[in-house]
Amino acid sequence: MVEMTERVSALAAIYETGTFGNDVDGGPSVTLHERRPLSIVHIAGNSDDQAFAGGVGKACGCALPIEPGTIATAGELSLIWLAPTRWLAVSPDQGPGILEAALRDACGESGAIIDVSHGRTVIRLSGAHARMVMMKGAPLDFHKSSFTPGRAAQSAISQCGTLITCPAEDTFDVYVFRGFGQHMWEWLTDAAGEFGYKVENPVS
Amino acid sequence: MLIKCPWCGDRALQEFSYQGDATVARPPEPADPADANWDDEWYQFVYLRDDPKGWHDEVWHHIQGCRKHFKARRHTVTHVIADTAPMSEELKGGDK
Ligand SMILES: [Zn+2]
Repeated sequence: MVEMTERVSALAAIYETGTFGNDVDGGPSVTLHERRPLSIVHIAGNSDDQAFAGGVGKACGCALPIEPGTIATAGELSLIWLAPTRWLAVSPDQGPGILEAALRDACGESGAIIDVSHGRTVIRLSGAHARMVMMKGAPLDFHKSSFTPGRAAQSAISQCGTLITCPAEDTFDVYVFRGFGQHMWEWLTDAAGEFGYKVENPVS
Repeated sequence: MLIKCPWCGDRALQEFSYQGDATVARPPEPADPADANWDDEWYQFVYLRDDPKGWHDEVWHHIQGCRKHFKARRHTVTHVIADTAPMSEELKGGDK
């Protein structure tokens, strides 16, 4: 029997809940929390290959999003377009290797499917000024009419490669490699400081 | 400055890196690998580049976006980019 090591957040050493930053009228207008635990699986394959596209669709419960920068959802699972032939499947933790195994079973010999759950730190920002914080970070068009719920883009914040998604109105998820987690947390909380911000407990 | 990734659309220059001249072609393998001309062809392929003033077809990499390589036709004086295209497609526009 293999003993599983406990998953520890990359932010564990610095994570502190509470209210921080400027004391502004009406209270803090940005809320941050780490999204964890999550199951995150990187998927590579050719969407024209029916065994691959059909398999991913069957395992995830939604069709592969083909249009650049879009997200398909099925319940709490998101299937995010990263690049031509590349996607990320994200859901609340399903248990070690479960989502990866489901995708591999459904796709057979097609595609390359890798569990990267432990390799990413995901930070969620929401609130009236969350969009302003994102505008300070990445050189993307964050206009309300452009980066709408269901959109995703890979870009850079503070020179770190990031995946940014808009899962809901005034809500943004920032994905970075785990090793950049603390830096990104410090950058985002610093940027949110002028608006006043609240840190809540991690939740997937 | 914005560059239009063929997949992601208009994105900031800082997300891209320049990958070189898109007009050079890898020399075909000679019948005899000891062929001295092949060395010269490879020397030219690897090291020698024109320095055109005007339209230039280039390879760019959307390194901090979708990580795809693509072609761009850029004016080396004005920096206007007339067209971008996947590596497998032809560029249009400019005066070429
Ligand atoms: Zn791109």
